[in-house]
This record gives sequence, structure tokens and C-alpha cells, in this order.
Amino acid sequence: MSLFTTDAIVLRDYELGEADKIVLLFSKTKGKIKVVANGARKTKSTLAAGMQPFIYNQIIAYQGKSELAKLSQCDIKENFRTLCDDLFKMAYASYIVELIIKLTVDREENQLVFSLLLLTLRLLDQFDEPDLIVKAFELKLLKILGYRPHLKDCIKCNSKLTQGLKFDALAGGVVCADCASYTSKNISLGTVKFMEQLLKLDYKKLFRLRMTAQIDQELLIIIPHYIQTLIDSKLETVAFLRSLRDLS
Amino acid sequence: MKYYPKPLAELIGQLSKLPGVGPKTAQRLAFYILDMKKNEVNQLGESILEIKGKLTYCSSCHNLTQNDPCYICGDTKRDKAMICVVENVKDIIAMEKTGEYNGVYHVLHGAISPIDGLGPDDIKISDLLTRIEEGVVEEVIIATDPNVEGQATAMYISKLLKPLEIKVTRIAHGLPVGGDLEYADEVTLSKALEGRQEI
Repeated sequence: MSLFTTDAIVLRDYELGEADKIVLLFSKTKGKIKVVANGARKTKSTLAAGMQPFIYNQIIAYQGKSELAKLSQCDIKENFRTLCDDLFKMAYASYIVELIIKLTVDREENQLVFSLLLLTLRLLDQFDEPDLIVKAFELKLLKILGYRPHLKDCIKCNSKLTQGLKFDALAGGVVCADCASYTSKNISLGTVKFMEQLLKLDYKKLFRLRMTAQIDQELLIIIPHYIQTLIDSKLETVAFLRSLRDLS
Repeated sequence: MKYYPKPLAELIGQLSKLPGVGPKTAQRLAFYILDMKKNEVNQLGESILEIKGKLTYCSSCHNLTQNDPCYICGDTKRDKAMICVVENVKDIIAMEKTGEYNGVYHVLHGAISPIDGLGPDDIKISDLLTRIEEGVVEEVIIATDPNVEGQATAMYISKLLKPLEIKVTRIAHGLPVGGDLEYADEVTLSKALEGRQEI
């Protein structure tokens, strides 16, 4: 039972009662936590603006006996404005947040994930290449959490990667044509190399990479499919992202 | 519950299903109802039954109404060239209280929320499009909530209406009347600055 201060990024919020909110945060020192923000839905609340999704705050909260901490103060450190003013960026940011919610465990400190999330939100806010930024995020997050896809050779028979490759989500990597199962998805050698590059690459050099339409299309299917297999549930934001792509 | 006579236990059970009503409040309400005059209790019961049977949604704007079309859509003095898009029926009441707006409304019954899996097909956006295509609409005012979901809905609608070359506006975000500037957060203040007006 104590008061604690930490930096935290708002992942999402749920309505509670008449004017309160339960806010899910990814904090620097306590990992994924839930706090109650009393009165945060009222127009004059000082907590209202900071407790919006994707906002980076410094929070002061009280942790009692219950699992939910009680938010006492929040001070906005960074507010990623374009994420809320651009529909595409907002949809991508929602996807990122959904991955963090579904792939990480509650109350487990992970500063690497925190830094990756913050950096990705900053990049999304500042640059107009959301596809590339999000793909780098997906792979780097999988790597940090121990789910790095196997890309060196066929994960089942260790044969060299040539043509007719597939990605097997259950096995967690690329498979050759002989080892492929009916659930495996098509993947070209170019995409495999691109994924390897993304995993190794420093963020400063990210925008030097060029992603062809084929790589983009393949990764758009493979990575969400792999993640959905890992978490054994559906990613809600994927359908919305696809409908947006169709609209434009 | 075993300490109460059956009808009273039943009433307490039903009342405690209401939002914000716990067992203790339900018990207090039930005892209050027990003490009420018979005709008052009848009135209460009738109003509860009527709300389900007699109310429907307006086929044009999806507002809650007794007659279709609702009193706003049926009012000939209202400006049909202006549609104000809101998330919920309660928002219409808030807008009407201002007394400043003379156009018609469109209730979406929700907002786009990708993380909850709520897309444009889950709210009444397609009906809004049909309404615009059929009618004589000149301006669409988007008055969804000033949060991420409301903003996403507003942007989606404006993207959808762009080819139709209709004026799409969004209500201003800013400081609440009676508040202190020094306590305003930077997000609200920057929005207020952005929407400043010449005096």
C-alpha cells in the first residue's frame, strides 16, 4: 500500500460508472497496470486529457490492496497529436497498442518494450511511413518477447532457403516447400531477407529500407497470422486496418 | 434474501440489476415503493412498461421517439440542409439545451473503436450516407466526443463525404466556461489556441 510515481503510456480506457474510467497503462517501472481515474470523463477533469489513448504521462497513483491502483495526478509528457488527427496513423497506433496488450503479461516490468513502444509512437507521429514503422515494431516486439521468427533456414529440416517457401506460424518460422503444411502462408525469399534486415537494423537507418508492394502484402498477412496463432485469439484492429486500405 | 417475503425479495433482485444500484440501495428503494400510495406505484409500473412498448427509433435520424419521424425531423421550421452527427441520443438533448442549433440530427449509436473491433459497419454511418445522397444537405457538423474514438469517427466520416463535396465541419474543442487557464492541460489549450476567433 503506497503512493508511486512512474512514466506511463496510455494503452486504452474503459468506462466505469457515471464519470470514471479504468485506464490500462504501460508503465516504465511496473509494466502493464490498470488504474482508476475518478471523474476522468467530466469536461473539467484535470485527468481527462492525459488519460486518452497513446498519451505519454508521468503519473502519481496509490496502490492499495486491490489490483487496481487509484490515479491521483497525471502530467502529460508527450502528446502525439497527429496520431489522433490522422485516421491511418490512429488505426496503426491502435494496432500497436493491441499487440502490447495481448502479448505482454500484467505487472511485469519490461523497459525494452516500454522504450520500443514510446519510440514507435514518436516515429508514427513524426514520419509518414506508418507501414514500415509498424512492421519494424512488430518484429522487434516479437524478438524482445522471445517469439523471434526463425528465418535462417527451414525450421523443420534445416535445408537452405530457395524457392517455394512458406511461413509456418505453428512452427514459428520459414519452411521449405516439402515441410509446408496446409496452414502455411506463402512467403518470398525477398520478404525473408527483408524481415532479417528489419530485425538487425538500427532505427536511425530504418527509412533507408525500401519495401516493395509484394513484401508489404506478404507481411500484412504473415505477421498478424503469426501473432494470432501465438496468442490464440483474434486481433480486432486488423479488420479495421484492412477496411481503411480498401477505402483509400 | 431468505429473510424477505418472496414479492419483496423479487423486487430487490430486479432493482439491483440497475446500474449503480447495489443490494443495500435496492433494499431501500423496495421499502420506499412499499410505502408509496397505490396509484403512484401503478404510475411507476405503467411508465416502465410504456418505455419498452411505445418508444421506437426514428427511421431518418435514429433518435429515440414515440412517433416516426421524430419531432425534430418532422418540424418544418428546422433547417434540413444542416445535419449534426452525434454519438448517442443523450447528446441530442445536450445540443438542444443550447438553443443555438436549428438543423436536424443523425445519431450514430456508437463510435468507431478499432481496439474493440467496432468498425464503420457497426454504427449508423451507411444510413447517414443514404440520407445525404437523397436529401438537400449542405453542411454536416460532426459533434462526436472529443476523444480518440470520437475523433476517429469524425475523420472517417469526413473521408467518406469528401467525394460528395459537402461542407464537413467539426465542433470546436477548448476550455470549459468558468475554468482557470492555468489549470488547463496542454492538449486542450493547444486545441483552444488552434480554434481561436477574431473578436
